[in-house]
Amino acid sequence: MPIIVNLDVMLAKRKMQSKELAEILDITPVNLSLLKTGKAKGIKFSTLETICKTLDCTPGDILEYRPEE
Amino acid sequence: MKTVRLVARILSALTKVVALGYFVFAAYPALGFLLQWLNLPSAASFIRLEDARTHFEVLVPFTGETFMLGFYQGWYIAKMLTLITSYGIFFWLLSNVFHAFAQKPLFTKQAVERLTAFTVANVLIPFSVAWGIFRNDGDAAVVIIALHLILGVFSYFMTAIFQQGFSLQREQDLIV
Repeated sequence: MPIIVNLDVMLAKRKMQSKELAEILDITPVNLSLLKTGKAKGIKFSTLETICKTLDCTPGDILEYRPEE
Repeated sequence: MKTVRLVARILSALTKVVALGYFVFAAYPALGFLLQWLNLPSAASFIRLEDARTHFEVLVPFTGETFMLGFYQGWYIAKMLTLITSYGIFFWLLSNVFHAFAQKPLFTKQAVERLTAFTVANVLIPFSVAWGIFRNDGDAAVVIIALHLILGVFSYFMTAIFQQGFSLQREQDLIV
């Protein structure tokens, strides 16, 4: 998958725990883990918006396009 | 969907009661015939043999009232009990299908399995039971097989829809 989710990086920068973010997003830690590990098939705009608002970042900080070799 | 779930729950409960009724109606005479064949005196409270043991009457417990009549022949009794048990199975599986419609989310692996079981039962059981036992009883077997086949075909397409829905549901669950 050439779309890389850098949520872990942003969480570390903001010194926030995954569990805390999961609670704010109103999703289970398992689903957040799916998102962080790139196993999720997609992300809703509403989820992305809340992540950006909570972590004070832009979608580009969370998602990255890295072409497959 | 709330109404659908409510109706499905009611129908599931009703059909489960009907299924249990069929199983009891099969088990009770079966127990009576077993006791009769073992020549146990307690058989008299279940079954009464009439007309020089050519006919039987199954009695309502503790009353002596008759609620089932028939020929006292092994083949006839086997046919009767198989038919009653088969409809017990039919209503039990139907109840499971209704129960699947009462679930949230609707498209689950369990729902697909229940619909598959109902489809298979509606195709295989009538063919084996109706054709195997009732083929000499005129058009009855053909009508029974045809009706259950129609149900089976509808159920087959319903299963395909549920299978597709289940796949989409799994995809949807991976969108966070």
